[in-house]
This record gives sequence, structure tokens and C-alpha cells, in this order.
Amino acid sequence: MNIKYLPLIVGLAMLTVLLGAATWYVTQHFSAAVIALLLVGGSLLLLSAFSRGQHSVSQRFIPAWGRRLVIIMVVFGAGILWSGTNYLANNHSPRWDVTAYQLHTLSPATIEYVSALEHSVQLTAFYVGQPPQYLRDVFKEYERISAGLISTEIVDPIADIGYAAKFGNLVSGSEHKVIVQSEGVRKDVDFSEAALSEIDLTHAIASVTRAPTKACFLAGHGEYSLLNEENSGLSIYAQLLEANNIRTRELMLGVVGVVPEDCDLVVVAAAANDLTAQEAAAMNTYLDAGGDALFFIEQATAAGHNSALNAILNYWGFAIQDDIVVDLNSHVGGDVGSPATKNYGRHKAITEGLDYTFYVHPRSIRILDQRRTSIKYAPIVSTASLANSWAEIDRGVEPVFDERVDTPGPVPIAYVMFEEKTAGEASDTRIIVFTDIDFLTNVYIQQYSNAQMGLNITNWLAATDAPVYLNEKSIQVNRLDLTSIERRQVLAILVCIPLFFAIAGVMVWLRLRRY
Amino acid sequence: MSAVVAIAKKELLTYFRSPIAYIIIIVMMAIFNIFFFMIADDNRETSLQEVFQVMEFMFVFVLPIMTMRLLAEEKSTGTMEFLMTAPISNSAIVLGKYLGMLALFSVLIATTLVYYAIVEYFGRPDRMTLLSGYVGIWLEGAFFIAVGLLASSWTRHQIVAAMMSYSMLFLLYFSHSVTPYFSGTAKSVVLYLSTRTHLDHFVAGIITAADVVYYLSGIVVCLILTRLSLENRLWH
Repeated sequence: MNIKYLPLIVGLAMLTVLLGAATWYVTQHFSAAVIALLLVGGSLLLLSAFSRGQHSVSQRFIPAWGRRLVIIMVVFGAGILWSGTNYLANNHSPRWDVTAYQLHTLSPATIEYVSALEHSVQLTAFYVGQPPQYLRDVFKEYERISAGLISTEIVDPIADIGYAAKFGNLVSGSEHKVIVQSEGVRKDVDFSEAALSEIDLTHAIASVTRAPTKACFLAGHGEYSLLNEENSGLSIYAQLLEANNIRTRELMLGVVGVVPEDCDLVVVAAAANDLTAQEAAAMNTYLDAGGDALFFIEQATAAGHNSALNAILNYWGFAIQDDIVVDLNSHVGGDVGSPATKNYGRHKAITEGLDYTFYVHPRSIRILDQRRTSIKYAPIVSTASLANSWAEIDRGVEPVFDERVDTPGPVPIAYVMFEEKTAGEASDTRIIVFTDIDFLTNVYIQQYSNAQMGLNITNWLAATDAPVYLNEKSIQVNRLDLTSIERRQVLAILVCIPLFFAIAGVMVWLRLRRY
Repeated sequence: MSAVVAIAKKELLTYFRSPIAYIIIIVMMAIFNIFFFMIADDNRETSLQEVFQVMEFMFVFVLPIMTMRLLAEEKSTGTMEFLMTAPISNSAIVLGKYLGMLALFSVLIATTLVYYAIVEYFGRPDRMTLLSGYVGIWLEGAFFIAVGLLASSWTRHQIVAAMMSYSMLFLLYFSHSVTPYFSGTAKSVVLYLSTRTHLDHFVAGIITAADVVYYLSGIVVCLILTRLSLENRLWH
């Protein structure tokens, strides 16, 4: 660099740094512009300092003031460069979790829920002996995501028996447990049999931080059972709801006469037998008063088979068609009558982020022309194919689209309905109708996004935000259990390696000594 | 560039033709091996997280001793003047000395790969996490060496260089422990300055740009300041 430009560059550098500092002082914020100014200024200072140094050395003359100036400029410039790059890196830092089980990466659902916590949560793990590394890592990640609202501790109940006693009888050496507490509510998560899972921990946090809601499942008409643990049962669905703080109970509407006030939602899980007129009236009264309901209609129990149920649906504008939906392109198990689809209506709480869901022999739904104008409808699930899916009227033969009678695709399989009430009236009425329930039975619920769909619709109807459904993530503790022989082998290796270097050193020393 | 390589090679050969390299490696290996065995026996896991933390702690004490002679010895014996008047740039001297010591340090780290071999043979370790830990400890050592080289450029007395090096590394390493006395931005800054914060991420299997930049920028700044010190004969 030409020496005559040096004062100009130094001046420019100082001005740039000054401008950056002044901008920061005014805005009280390290914006990108401030950082850029400081970095440019720092770089110019360093450049001019080195240029000055080279020039002076070449002339073999360095005046005292010049040397001091160079030193100050370099130190100042280096300091600014270091601070600027580190500030930028710290604030716009990409992060890679390279662990095999993604221990430091919680699922988006957990992050969304935990980062929105309003109350503090205490996680106390009881673990006899040295706690595994993964447990400490998982706890750290929850602390980090919650921005301090979650605090954690790992207690050895044998070593700290007095403290453990405050939590109950926890002195068993084989028992591993996390106690989740918030605002006086407590939930225990046992992980004695397998590694602590994110699903269990997040659900426990959700259950202590949310007010529970109640879903009442209509009973007494041959509905699918929450207690049934066989393939056709809904026990896994019920567990999922419980884990998300939605309590479930059966509702014998014929016995109690009205829908109880503590029901936030009524679920009709494919009633096989007719509802009585009184039950239908009670349901409509409940819905008119702003109640919410989830109707599952099964093939065998649909239109024409259950007049009272159909009457309720007709009252709210739905007509379940006497057909079967087929999709030649997108289906599961080689059955064109079991369409798989990602063709969802846009609904943030219900369909956002869902993968495929599939339905077994669903029917199509038509919205009646004669309906109240205050009611809004939207299809939330339709068949995936436009050309190769339709609602087949003639179910006895090989499906062939007949444009005179069949409904062309994409065919709606599920609808959401919303009636907004004016101020002073009851709360809004929400209804969701699915023409299948098999997708939530124990045999199918954990496939594709079926469980997520089931949870989302229930949560939306129960007006619970932020549903937390997580895919199972198995964590294995990588053990290093050495037998006595293996221990001796390891010891021998560890002793031999330093000895190898000692021998090599002596040999080199002897060789050099000879010369 | 050839001058840099020549100086680095000469430095490395000096270590291995004298007992220095062997003594350092033997002592360090012996200490690391004891801790590795104790930790593995106690935890019964294939994780080397705590071994890396022990290594970091040891390097705070050992690396200043290894780096104190880098430039201070040249000055005390008078060979610095020869080096300065030779047709090689100050940058080449700094880089050559730095890379020579870094090579010795890399050999030291390489000897600890036996721990990986052991956990791989007897268990099923998380390989990427172990690799991340090794990258972290290597970067940390490289940073400590740069700090030691800088301290060595400030004085002709090796002990003084070691003391200055200790002061800086202690401040960086133990600043983590004084965070309870700070709050807000000051706490974040102190935490960020701590080397432990950054190494903890690496050994846990998290790699962030901030951690990499912390070490690399620290190394670059130390080398720039070392060159400045040489150029202006700050030890006079």
C-alpha cells in the first residue's frame, strides 16, 4: 500500500469505528449495520497497521510515536474484529446436533409447547448411582428451550435419603423416576424399564401445566370402546388423550338425560344402534347451547341405518351419503376403498404439518342446501386424486366411475363446522364429522399421521391449544460393561502405551548420545 | 510457506530429538489413562464426555509449560536476533513456531485415540459425538497454544511467560465459575468467554458456529498480536 494514503485510511478507519459506536449508542442495539461498520473499521485499522509496520521496517526506522500508534491500532482493530465476529456468530449461529439419538434436538411440538410455558416447572430425577449422560443432556435441553422456566435436578435417593423422602418412598435402587411439578401439581414419570423418552416427559409437563379438559364418549349404542385393547378398540387413542390432559369418560345419555356441564366435548364413536329421540334432542340442545361434538360414522352404521343420528347431522347441515369412497392411485393395503391422502383443508390447529392419513371404507359427505347461514363449513380431509378417486354408489362390483351417479374426486371424507354465536350468547358450536373411525383404532392409529389427526381434532374441539403428539424416539444407553478379563485387557493397553513412548524415547536418546 | 514448514519441522524435531516430547506424552498419557479407566469403570458408558473435560483441565496447566519456551528461549539465548535478521517474515516465524507446537499437541491428542478404540471394541459408542469431542478438544488446545505463544513473545524469561499464560488461561477457564456473581448481559458475556462453555457443547455432540468462531478467532487474534509483539520488539 502506498504510504501517502496511510493517514487517509487510518482516518477512514477511525471514522467508521466511531460511526459504528455512535450508532450503537443511539440505538442501544448491535444491529447488522453496527457490526458491519465495526468490522470494516477494525479491518482497515489492522490493514493500515501492518502496512505501516512493513514500511517502517523496510526503511529501518521506526519512530517511538509510530510504533505506539501501530500497536494501538492493531490491538484496537484485533479487539473489534474478535468482538464483531463472535457477536455475529453467537447471534446467528447455526447448530448441529451430531448425536446418534438427536439428544439435543427436541421435537418441534415440544419446543413449541415448552417455549410457551407461563409457569415454572421443576423436574426432579431420582437415579441411584451415576446418572447416565443422556439424562443430563436431555434435562439441559429442556432448560435451554424453556429459557429458565424449567429447572432440573438429579438426586441419588440413597445418598440423599432425607431430600428424597420429601417426594415419597423412593429408595429403591432399581427405580428410576422423574417427578414433574408445577404450581402444586405433580406427575411422576417412571423410566425404570427403558430410557426416559421425550414423549413421556413432554406429556408430563403438559399435564401439570394445563388445566385438564373432559371428553365424554357416548355409550350404550354399540360404540367403539375406549377400554377395548384389541385391534378394533380405542385404548391407545384414549391413552394419547390422557397424556395430553384430556380426561375421557363414558356418557350414558339415555340415563342422565342431558349432557353434563363438565363435558367439554361429546364424542360419538360410530354408534351402531339407534339413538332414542330423547337422546337426539339432548344432543341438539347441547350443541345449540354452544357445545362441541365429534362424530365418527362407520360404513355399517351410516345413513339409512341410524335415523336419529342422521337427524342430528342433517340438523347441522350434513348428509352422509350411501356410498363408498375409492381412490385408485392413493390407497393402503391394496384396497382401493381405503384411501390415503394428504389433501387437507387449510386449518392451522388441525391439518398443519400432517403427513398422510388413511381411512377404511369411508363415505362421502354432502352439505345440505337447506342450512343455517350462520354456519361455516370446510372440508378438512378429501381424497388425494382428482381423476382417479370418486364416491362409488354401486359397491357390489368392481369400482368403475359412473358420472351419472358417482361423485367425482376429490371427495370430502371429513368436514369441520363452526357456528359463531353473537356476543352474549353461548360459546361457539364446533362439530367435526369423519366418515370412518377405523383410522383411530389400535391397529391403525400409530400408522402415518393418524394419531396426530385424532389428537388435533380432539384438541381443537376441546379448545386446547398446542397439542403435543410426538413420534417415538428410542434412546439406547451405550453401555460399557467390562468383564474381569476385559478390564485386565484395557488396563494392559493403558499401561503399555506410555511404556511404548518411554522405550521409543530411550532409544532416540541412546542413538543421539552415540553421535 | 516453505519457511513456515521449515520452522515448524525444526520445532517438532527439536521436541522429538530431546526428552521433552517423550516426557510430555508419557506423563500426560499416564494421567489421562488413569482418569479414563476410573471414569469408564464408574460410569460404565461409552461416552468420553468426562474424559474430555479432564483433558481440558489438564491442558490449562500443561500447555503454558509447553509453550513458554517457544519465543522466550530464542530471546534469552540470543538466537532471536538471528531469526529476525534471516530472510523470513515475522509472520512465518510466528506461524512456524505455532504449527510446530500444534503438531506436537496433535500427536498427544492422537495418542488418546486409544480410548476410542477401546470403547469401539468393547461397546457401541456414538461415533459422531466422540468425533465432535475430539474436534473440540483439539480446537481448545490450538487456542491455548496461541495464547501461550503470545505470552512467550512478551518476555525473554520462560517462567514469566508461563505465569502470564497461566493468568490468561485461568481467566478464560475459570470465568465459568464466577457467573453467579453476574446477571443479564454481563453474565452472558462472562459465560461466552469461558472456554468450558464452548468445549461442553462439542463434547456433548453439539457443534455451533459460535463455538468454532470463538476458537478460530481467538487463535487468529493471538497470532496477530504475537506478530505485532515480534515486529515491535515488545520484550525490550
